[in-house]
Amino acid sequence: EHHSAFLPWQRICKRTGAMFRTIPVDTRGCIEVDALGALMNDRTRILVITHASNVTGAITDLSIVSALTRPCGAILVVDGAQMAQHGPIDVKSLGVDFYALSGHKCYGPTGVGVLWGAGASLARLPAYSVGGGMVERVTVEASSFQHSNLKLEAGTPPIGQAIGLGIALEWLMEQDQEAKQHQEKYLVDKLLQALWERPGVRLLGPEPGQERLPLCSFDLENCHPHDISQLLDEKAVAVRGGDHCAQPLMNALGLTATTRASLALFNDESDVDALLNGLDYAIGELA
Amino acid sequence: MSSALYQAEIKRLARLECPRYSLPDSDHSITLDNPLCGDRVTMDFHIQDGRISAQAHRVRGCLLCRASANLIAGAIPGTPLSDLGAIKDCAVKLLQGGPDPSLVSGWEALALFQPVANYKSRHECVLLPFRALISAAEQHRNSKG
Repeated sequence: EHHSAFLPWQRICKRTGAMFRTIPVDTRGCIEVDALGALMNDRTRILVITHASNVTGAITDLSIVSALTRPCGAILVVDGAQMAQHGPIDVKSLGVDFYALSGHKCYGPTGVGVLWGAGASLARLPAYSVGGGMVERVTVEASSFQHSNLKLEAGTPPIGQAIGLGIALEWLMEQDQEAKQHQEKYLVDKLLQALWERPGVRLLGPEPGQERLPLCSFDLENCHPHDISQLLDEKAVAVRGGDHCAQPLMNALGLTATTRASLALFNDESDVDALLNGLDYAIGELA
Repeated sequence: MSSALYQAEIKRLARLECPRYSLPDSDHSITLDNPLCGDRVTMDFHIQDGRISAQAHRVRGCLLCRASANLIAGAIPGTPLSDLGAIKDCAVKLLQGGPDPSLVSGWEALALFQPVANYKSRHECVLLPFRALISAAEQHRNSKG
Protein backbone atom coordinates (compact mmCIF):
# COMPACT_ATOMS: atom_id res chain seq x y z
CA GLU A 1 0.00 0.00 0.00
CA HIS A 2 1.00 3.59 -0.53
CA HIS A 3 1.85 5.28 2.78
CA SER A 4 -1.25 7.44 2.31
CA ALA A 5 -3.45 4.36 2.59
CA PHE A 6 -1.29 2.81 5.31
CA LEU A 7 -0.45 5.48 7.87
CA PRO A 8 -3.97 6.70 8.77
CA TRP A 9 -5.08 3.16 9.62
CA GLN A 10 -1.89 2.38 11.49
CA ARG A 11 -2.48 5.50 13.57
CA ILE A 12 -6.14 4.71 14.19
CA CYS A 13 -5.20 1.24 15.38
CA LYS A 14 -2.63 2.67 17.79
CA ARG A 15 -5.23 5.09 19.14
CA THR A 16 -8.03 2.57 19.49
CA GLY A 17 -6.09 -0.58 20.32
CA ALA A 18 -7.39 -2.31 17.21
CA MET A 19 -5.15 -4.89 15.62
CA PHE A 20 -3.34 -3.77 12.46
CA ARG A 21 -2.73 -6.60 10.02
CA THR A 22 -1.20 -6.57 6.58
CA ILE A 23 -1.79 -8.87 3.63
CA PRO A 24 1.38 -10.63 2.44
CA VAL A 25 2.90 -10.06 -0.99
CA ASP A 26 4.67 -12.52 -3.24
CA THR A 27 8.23 -12.15 -4.55
CA ARG A 28 7.01 -9.86 -7.34
CA GLY A 29 5.34 -7.57 -4.85
CA CYS A 30 1.80 -8.60 -5.79
CA ILE A 31 -0.81 -8.82 -3.04
CA GLU A 32 -1.67 -12.41 -2.16
CA VAL A 33 -5.43 -11.99 -2.20
CA ASP A 34 -5.84 -15.70 -1.51
CA ALA A 35 -4.29 -15.15 1.92
CA LEU A 36 -7.08 -12.77 2.85
CA GLY A 37 -9.47 -15.48 3.92
CA ALA A 38 -7.15 -16.66 6.69
CA LEU A 39 -6.58 -13.10 7.90
CA MET A 40 -10.21 -12.10 8.23
CA ASN A 41 -12.79 -13.11 10.80
CA ASP A 42 -15.92 -11.73 12.43
CA ARG A 43 -13.78 -9.29 14.40
CA THR A 44 -12.41 -7.67 11.24
CA ARG A 45 -13.80 -4.16 11.05
CA ILE A 46 -12.18 -2.55 8.05
CA LEU A 47 -10.28 -3.84 5.03
CA VAL A 48 -8.25 -1.28 3.12
CA ILE A 49 -6.74 -2.30 -0.18
CA THR A 50 -5.36 -0.67 -3.28
CA HIS A 51 -7.21 -1.11 -6.54
CA ALA A 52 -3.90 -0.98 -8.36
CA SER A 53 -0.41 -0.74 -6.95
CA ASN A 54 1.61 2.41 -7.62
CA VAL A 55 4.75 0.27 -7.33
CA THR A 56 4.03 -2.99 -9.11
CA GLY A 57 1.17 -2.03 -11.39
CA ALA A 58 -0.73 -5.13 -10.19
CA ILE A 59 -4.50 -4.75 -10.30
CA THR A 60 -6.48 -6.15 -7.39
CA ASP A 61 -9.45 -8.34 -8.22
CA LEU A 62 -11.99 -6.50 -6.11
CA SER A 63 -14.73 -9.07 -6.78
CA ILE A 64 -12.72 -11.63 -4.77
CA VAL A 65 -11.89 -9.11 -2.07
CA SER A 66 -15.48 -7.97 -1.79
CA ALA A 67 -16.76 -11.56 -1.59
CA LEU A 68 -14.32 -12.28 1.26
CA THR A 69 -15.15 -9.07 3.08
CA ARG A 70 -18.96 -9.30 3.07
CA PRO A 71 -19.37 -12.35 5.33
CA CYS A 72 -17.26 -10.66 8.03
CA GLY A 73 -19.36 -7.53 7.93
CA ALA A 74 -16.19 -5.46 7.48
CA ILE A 75 -16.10 -2.13 5.67
CA LEU A 76 -14.19 -2.28 2.40
CA VAL A 77 -12.17 0.85 1.61
CA VAL A 78 -10.37 0.98 -1.73
CA ASP A 79 -7.52 3.26 -2.74
CA GLY A 80 -8.17 4.01 -6.39
CA ALA A 81 -5.57 6.75 -6.76
CA GLN A 82 -3.55 4.80 -9.32
CA MET A 83 -6.50 3.21 -11.10
CA ALA A 84 -8.92 6.03 -11.76
CA GLN A 85 -6.95 7.65 -14.59
CA HIS A 86 -6.80 4.32 -16.40
CA GLY A 87 -10.55 3.81 -16.04
CA PRO A 88 -13.40 4.34 -16.56
CA ILE A 89 -14.52 2.88 -13.25
CA ASP A 90 -18.07 2.00 -12.31
CA VAL A 91 -17.72 2.27 -8.54
CA LYS A 92 -21.22 0.99 -7.87
CA SER A 93 -20.43 -2.32 -9.50
CA LEU A 94 -17.25 -2.94 -7.49
CA GLY A 95 -18.97 -4.03 -4.27
CA VAL A 96 -16.95 -1.62 -2.14
CA ASP A 97 -18.02 0.71 0.66
CA PHE A 98 -15.63 3.56 -0.08
CA TYR A 99 -13.48 4.43 -3.06
CA ALA A 100 -10.88 7.23 -2.96
CA LEU A 101 -8.91 8.91 -5.70
CA SER A 102 -6.57 11.89 -6.07
CA GLY A 103 -7.11 14.82 -8.39
CA HIS A 104 -3.50 15.21 -9.43
CA LYS A 105 -3.30 11.58 -10.57
CA CYS A 106 -6.12 12.27 -13.00
CA TYR A 107 -4.47 15.28 -14.63
CA GLY A 108 -6.38 17.55 -12.25
CA PRO A 109 -5.19 19.97 -9.57
CA THR A 110 -3.36 19.02 -6.39
CA GLY A 111 -5.01 19.23 -2.98
CA VAL A 112 -8.31 17.79 -4.07
CA GLY A 113 -9.70 14.32 -4.59
CA VAL A 114 -12.77 12.17 -4.47
CA LEU A 115 -14.15 9.98 -1.72
CA TRP A 116 -17.10 8.00 -2.97
CA GLY A 117 -19.23 6.14 -0.47
CA ALA A 118 -21.99 3.60 -1.01
CA GLY A 119 -25.28 4.97 0.32
CA ALA A 120 -25.60 2.96 3.53
CA SER A 121 -21.88 3.15 4.30
CA LEU A 122 -21.80 6.87 3.76
CA ALA A 123 -24.80 7.30 6.03
CA ARG A 124 -22.98 5.48 8.84
CA LEU A 125 -20.01 7.86 8.74
CA PRO A 126 -20.05 10.52 11.46
CA ALA A 127 -19.06 14.09 10.69
CA TYR A 128 -15.32 13.98 11.43
CA SER A 129 -14.91 17.74 11.31
CA VAL A 130 -17.35 20.53 12.04
CA GLY A 131 -17.71 24.03 10.66
CA GLY A 132 -19.68 26.15 8.26
CA GLY A 133 -21.59 24.62 5.40
CA MET A 134 -22.30 21.25 6.96
CA VAL A 135 -24.83 22.22 9.59
CA GLU A 136 -28.56 21.78 9.67
CA ARG A 137 -29.24 23.84 12.78
CA VAL A 138 -26.96 25.31 15.44
CA THR A 139 -28.20 26.48 18.83
CA VAL A 140 -26.50 27.15 22.12
CA GLU A 141 -27.89 23.88 23.44
CA ALA A 142 -27.17 21.54 20.53
CA SER A 143 -26.37 21.31 16.85
CA SER A 144 -27.46 19.01 14.07
CA PHE A 145 -25.69 18.31 10.82
CA GLN A 146 -26.52 17.63 7.22
CA HIS A 147 -26.58 14.11 5.85
CA SER A 148 -24.82 12.17 3.16
CA ASN A 149 -21.61 13.74 1.85
CA LEU A 150 -22.59 17.23 2.98
CA LYS A 151 -21.87 16.43 6.63
CA LEU A 152 -18.23 15.74 5.66
CA GLU A 153 -17.62 19.06 3.94
CA ALA A 154 -17.10 21.53 6.76
CA GLY A 155 -15.80 24.98 5.96
CA THR A 156 -15.13 26.66 2.65
CA PRO A 157 -14.30 23.97 0.12
CA PRO A 158 -11.36 24.19 -2.31
CA ILE A 159 -13.62 25.60 -4.97
CA GLY A 160 -11.05 26.24 -7.68
CA GLN A 161 -9.49 22.79 -7.28
CA ALA A 162 -12.89 21.08 -7.31
CA ILE A 163 -13.86 22.83 -10.56
CA GLY A 164 -10.48 21.93 -12.03
CA LEU A 165 -10.86 18.30 -11.04
CA GLY A 166 -14.34 18.17 -12.53
CA ILE A 167 -13.05 19.49 -15.85
CA ALA A 168 -10.09 17.06 -15.80
CA LEU A 169 -12.40 14.10 -15.18
CA GLU A 170 -14.78 15.23 -17.91
CA TRP A 171 -11.84 15.49 -20.28
CA LEU A 172 -10.68 12.01 -19.30
CA MET A 173 -14.14 10.60 -19.92
CA GLU A 174 -14.24 12.22 -23.36
CA GLN A 175 -11.22 10.21 -24.46
CA ASP A 176 -11.64 7.08 -26.51
CA GLN A 177 -11.30 4.69 -23.56
CA GLU A 178 -10.76 1.60 -25.64
CA ALA A 179 -8.07 3.23 -27.74
CA LYS A 180 -6.43 4.67 -24.61
CA GLN A 181 -6.30 1.31 -22.86
CA HIS A 182 -5.11 -0.44 -26.00
CA GLN A 183 -2.32 2.08 -26.49
CA GLU A 184 -1.22 1.93 -22.84
CA LYS A 185 -1.21 -1.87 -22.88
CA TYR A 186 0.76 -2.00 -26.10
CA LEU A 187 3.39 0.38 -24.74
CA VAL A 188 3.78 -1.26 -21.34
CA ASP A 189 4.02 -4.73 -22.91
CA LYS A 190 6.76 -3.48 -25.22
CA LEU A 191 8.63 -1.91 -22.32
CA LEU A 192 8.22 -4.95 -20.07
CA GLN A 193 9.34 -7.34 -22.78
CA ALA A 194 12.46 -5.26 -23.46
CA LEU A 195 13.32 -5.06 -19.76
CA TRP A 196 12.49 -8.73 -19.21
CA GLU A 197 15.14 -9.67 -21.77
CA ARG A 198 17.84 -7.52 -20.21
CA PRO A 199 20.34 -9.20 -17.91
CA GLY A 200 20.48 -7.88 -14.36
CA VAL A 201 16.93 -6.52 -14.36
CA ARG A 202 14.49 -7.52 -11.63
CA LEU A 203 10.97 -6.61 -12.66
CA LEU A 204 8.25 -6.14 -10.09
CA GLY A 205 4.60 -6.90 -10.65
CA PRO A 206 2.79 -9.18 -13.07
CA GLU A 207 4.77 -10.77 -15.87
CA PRO A 208 4.57 -9.42 -19.43
CA GLY A 209 1.23 -10.19 -21.02
CA GLN A 210 -0.68 -10.33 -17.73
CA GLU A 211 -3.16 -7.65 -16.74
CA ARG A 212 -1.53 -4.64 -15.09
CA LEU A 213 -1.35 -0.88 -15.07
CA PRO A 214 0.87 0.73 -17.69
CA LEU A 215 3.70 1.24 -15.25
CA CYS A 216 6.85 -0.67 -14.70
CA SER A 217 9.09 -0.79 -11.62
CA PHE A 218 12.45 -2.44 -11.83
CA ASP A 219 15.73 -2.91 -10.05
CA LEU A 220 18.85 -2.86 -12.17
CA GLU A 221 21.85 -4.67 -10.76
CA ASN A 222 24.66 -2.34 -9.64
CA CYS A 223 22.76 0.78 -10.71
CA HIS A 224 20.85 2.70 -8.08
CA PRO A 225 17.47 4.13 -9.13
CA HIS A 226 18.51 7.63 -8.09
CA ASP A 227 21.50 7.52 -10.43
CA ILE A 228 19.42 6.05 -13.26
CA SER A 229 16.76 8.74 -12.81
CA GLN A 230 19.39 11.48 -12.84
CA LEU A 231 20.92 10.24 -16.07
CA LEU A 232 17.58 9.56 -17.77
CA ASP A 233 16.55 13.11 -16.93
CA GLU A 234 19.44 14.29 -19.08
CA LYS A 235 17.84 12.45 -21.97
CA ALA A 236 14.48 14.12 -21.27
CA VAL A 237 13.04 10.89 -19.87
CA ALA A 238 11.22 11.38 -16.59
CA VAL A 239 11.01 8.37 -14.27
CA ARG A 240 10.70 8.06 -10.53
CA GLY A 241 13.50 6.59 -8.45
CA GLY A 242 12.82 5.82 -4.81
CA ASP A 243 10.57 3.83 -2.52
CA HIS A 244 7.39 5.26 -4.08
CA CYS A 245 5.93 5.99 -0.65
CA ALA A 246 5.75 2.26 -0.02
CA GLN A 247 8.52 1.42 2.44
CA PRO A 248 6.79 -1.64 3.93
CA LEU A 249 6.54 -3.12 0.44
CA MET A 250 10.20 -2.33 -0.27
CA ASN A 251 11.16 -4.04 2.98
CA ALA A 252 9.13 -7.11 2.03
CA LEU A 253 10.96 -7.25 -1.28
CA GLY A 254 14.40 -6.70 0.25
CA LEU A 255 14.81 -3.43 -1.64
CA THR A 256 15.17 0.19 -0.64
CA ALA A 257 14.23 1.68 -4.00
CA THR A 258 13.27 0.93 -7.58
CA THR A 259 13.09 2.84 -10.83
CA ARG A 260 9.53 3.33 -12.03
CA ALA A 261 8.41 4.30 -15.51
CA SER A 262 4.75 5.31 -15.70
CA LEU A 263 3.08 5.42 -19.08
CA ALA A 264 -0.05 7.40 -19.80
CA LEU A 265 -2.34 8.36 -22.63
CA PHE A 266 0.08 11.01 -23.94
CA ASN A 267 2.96 8.56 -24.40
CA ASP A 268 3.85 6.85 -27.65
CA GLU A 269 6.37 4.33 -28.89
CA SER A 270 9.12 6.94 -29.20
CA ASP A 271 8.94 7.49 -25.42
CA VAL A 272 9.52 3.80 -24.75
CA ASP A 273 12.45 3.81 -27.18
CA ALA A 274 13.86 6.92 -25.50
CA LEU A 275 13.66 5.21 -22.12
CA LEU A 276 15.39 2.07 -23.35
CA ASN A 277 18.11 4.08 -25.11
CA GLY A 278 18.43 6.24 -22.02
CA LEU A 279 18.93 3.15 -19.89
CA ASP A 280 21.78 2.05 -22.13
CA TYR A 281 23.31 5.48 -21.68
CA ALA A 282 22.85 5.39 -17.90
CA ILE A 283 24.34 1.94 -17.58
CA GLY A 284 27.31 3.08 -19.66
CA GLU A 285 27.84 6.18 -17.54
CA LEU A 286 27.64 4.26 -14.29
CA ALA A 287 29.95 1.45 -15.41
CA MET B 1 25.43 17.58 -17.60
CA SER B 2 25.50 14.81 -15.02
CA SER B 3 28.89 13.65 -16.28
CA ALA B 4 30.38 15.94 -13.64
CA LEU B 5 28.53 13.94 -11.00
CA TYR B 6 29.69 10.66 -12.39
CA GLN B 7 33.32 11.56 -12.93
CA ALA B 8 35.88 8.78 -12.80
CA GLU B 9 37.20 9.57 -9.33
CA ILE B 10 33.75 9.55 -7.74
CA LYS B 11 32.96 6.26 -9.47
CA ARG B 12 36.27 4.81 -8.29
CA LEU B 13 35.55 5.90 -4.76
CA ALA B 14 32.04 4.43 -4.88
CA ARG B 15 33.36 1.11 -6.13
CA LEU B 16 36.03 0.77 -3.47
CA GLU B 17 35.61 -2.37 -1.48
CA CYS B 18 34.56 -1.26 1.96
CA PRO B 19 37.40 -2.23 4.33
CA ARG B 20 34.92 -3.38 6.97
CA TYR B 21 31.18 -3.82 6.77
CA SER B 22 30.63 -4.09 10.49
CA LEU B 23 32.47 -3.77 13.78
CA PRO B 24 31.82 -6.46 16.35
CA ASP B 25 31.13 -4.86 19.74
CA SER B 26 30.94 -1.41 18.22
CA ASP B 27 30.51 1.46 20.66
CA HIS B 28 27.89 3.04 18.45
CA SER B 29 25.92 1.85 15.44
CA ILE B 30 23.87 4.35 13.47
CA THR B 31 21.38 3.63 10.70
CA LEU B 32 19.94 6.52 8.72
CA ASP B 33 17.54 6.64 5.79
CA ASN B 34 16.89 9.18 3.13
CA PRO B 35 13.18 8.64 2.53
CA LEU B 36 13.20 10.65 -0.68
CA CYS B 37 15.40 8.25 -2.60
CA GLY B 38 15.67 5.20 -0.39
CA ASP B 39 19.35 5.49 0.51
CA ARG B 40 20.20 3.70 3.75
CA VAL B 41 23.49 3.97 5.62
CA THR B 42 24.59 1.98 8.65
CA MET B 43 27.84 2.99 10.33
CA ASP B 44 29.55 1.32 13.26
CA PHE B 45 32.15 3.09 15.37
CA HIS B 46 34.78 2.31 17.94
CA ILE B 47 35.67 5.34 20.02
CA GLN B 48 38.77 5.63 22.12
CA ASP B 49 40.06 8.66 24.03
CA GLY B 50 37.59 10.97 22.31
CA ARG B 51 38.60 9.86 18.84
CA ILE B 52 37.11 7.51 16.30
CA SER B 53 39.49 4.59 16.37
CA ALA B 54 37.65 2.42 13.85
CA GLN B 55 34.69 2.71 11.51
CA ALA B 56 32.74 0.29 9.32
CA HIS B 57 29.71 0.82 7.12
CA ARG B 58 27.04 -0.74 4.99
CA VAL B 59 25.37 1.37 2.30
CA ARG B 60 22.30 0.52 0.27
CA GLY B 61 22.27 3.66 -1.73
CA CYS B 62 23.25 5.52 -4.85
CA LEU B 63 26.71 6.00 -6.23
CA LEU B 64 27.15 9.38 -4.54
CA CYS B 65 26.14 8.00 -1.16
CA ARG B 66 28.54 5.07 -1.48
CA ALA B 67 31.36 7.36 -2.56
CA SER B 68 30.68 9.66 0.37
CA ALA B 69 30.69 6.78 2.87
CA ASN B 70 33.93 5.40 1.42
CA LEU B 71 35.55 8.82 1.57
CA ILE B 72 34.67 8.97 5.25
CA ALA B 73 36.02 5.46 5.82
CA GLY B 74 39.37 6.53 4.40
CA ALA B 75 39.69 9.75 6.35
CA ILE B 76 37.98 9.12 9.65
CA PRO B 77 40.33 6.90 11.70
CA GLY B 78 41.89 8.98 14.45
CA THR B 79 39.55 11.94 13.98
CA PRO B 80 38.56 13.62 17.27
CA LEU B 81 34.82 13.60 17.93
CA SER B 82 35.05 17.33 18.48
CA ASP B 83 36.00 17.80 14.81
CA LEU B 84 33.00 15.97 13.35
CA GLY B 85 30.70 18.98 13.44
CA ALA B 86 33.17 21.10 11.48
CA ILE B 87 33.69 18.31 8.94
CA LYS B 88 29.99 17.92 8.32
CA ASP B 89 29.53 21.70 8.13
CA CYS B 90 32.31 21.82 5.57
CA ALA B 91 30.47 19.22 3.46
CA VAL B 92 27.24 21.20 3.76
CA LYS B 93 28.89 24.48 2.79
CA LEU B 94 30.69 22.83 -0.09
CA LEU B 95 27.36 21.64 -1.48
CA GLN B 96 26.01 25.13 -1.10
CA GLY B 97 28.82 26.31 -3.32
CA GLY B 98 30.83 27.42 -0.30
CA PRO B 99 34.46 27.43 0.79
CA ASP B 100 37.44 25.35 -0.12
CA PRO B 101 37.24 22.03 1.78
CA SER B 102 40.96 22.17 2.45
CA LEU B 103 39.90 24.23 5.48
CA VAL B 104 39.54 20.89 7.22
CA SER B 105 42.89 19.17 7.14
CA GLY B 106 42.79 15.60 5.91
CA TRP B 107 39.42 16.05 4.20
CA GLU B 108 40.61 17.74 1.01
CA ALA B 109 39.05 14.93 -1.05
CA LEU B 110 35.67 16.41 -0.22
CA ALA B 111 36.29 18.73 -3.16
CA LEU B 112 35.33 15.81 -5.40
CA PHE B 113 31.72 16.50 -4.51
CA GLN B 114 31.85 20.14 -5.62
CA PRO B 115 29.87 19.39 -8.84
CA VAL B 116 27.01 18.04 -6.72
CA ALA B 117 26.35 21.61 -5.58
CA ASN B 118 24.42 22.17 -8.81
CA TYR B 119 22.06 19.26 -8.09
CA LYS B 120 20.12 20.12 -4.97
CA SER B 121 18.13 16.89 -5.01
CA ARG B 122 21.41 14.97 -4.65
CA HIS B 123 22.87 16.88 -1.70
CA GLU B 124 21.35 14.46 0.82
CA CYS B 125 22.98 11.54 -1.00
CA VAL B 126 26.38 12.95 -0.07
CA LEU B 127 25.38 14.21 3.35
CA LEU B 128 23.66 11.11 4.71
CA PRO B 129 26.94 9.41 5.77
CA PHE B 130 28.07 12.68 7.37
CA ARG B 131 24.82 12.83 9.32
CA ALA B 132 25.66 9.36 10.62
CA LEU B 133 28.94 10.78 11.95
CA ILE B 134 27.11 13.50 13.81
CA SER B 135 24.59 11.03 15.22
CA ALA B 136 27.46 8.88 16.51
CA ALA B 137 29.03 11.88 18.23
CA GLU B 138 25.68 12.81 19.79
CA GLN B 139 25.07 9.25 20.90
CA HIS B 140 28.50 9.13 22.47
CA ARG B 141 27.96 12.43 24.25
CA ASN B 142 24.59 11.28 25.58
CA SER B 143 26.00 7.98 26.75
CA LYS B 144 28.58 9.87 28.80
CA GLY B 145 25.84 11.95 30.38
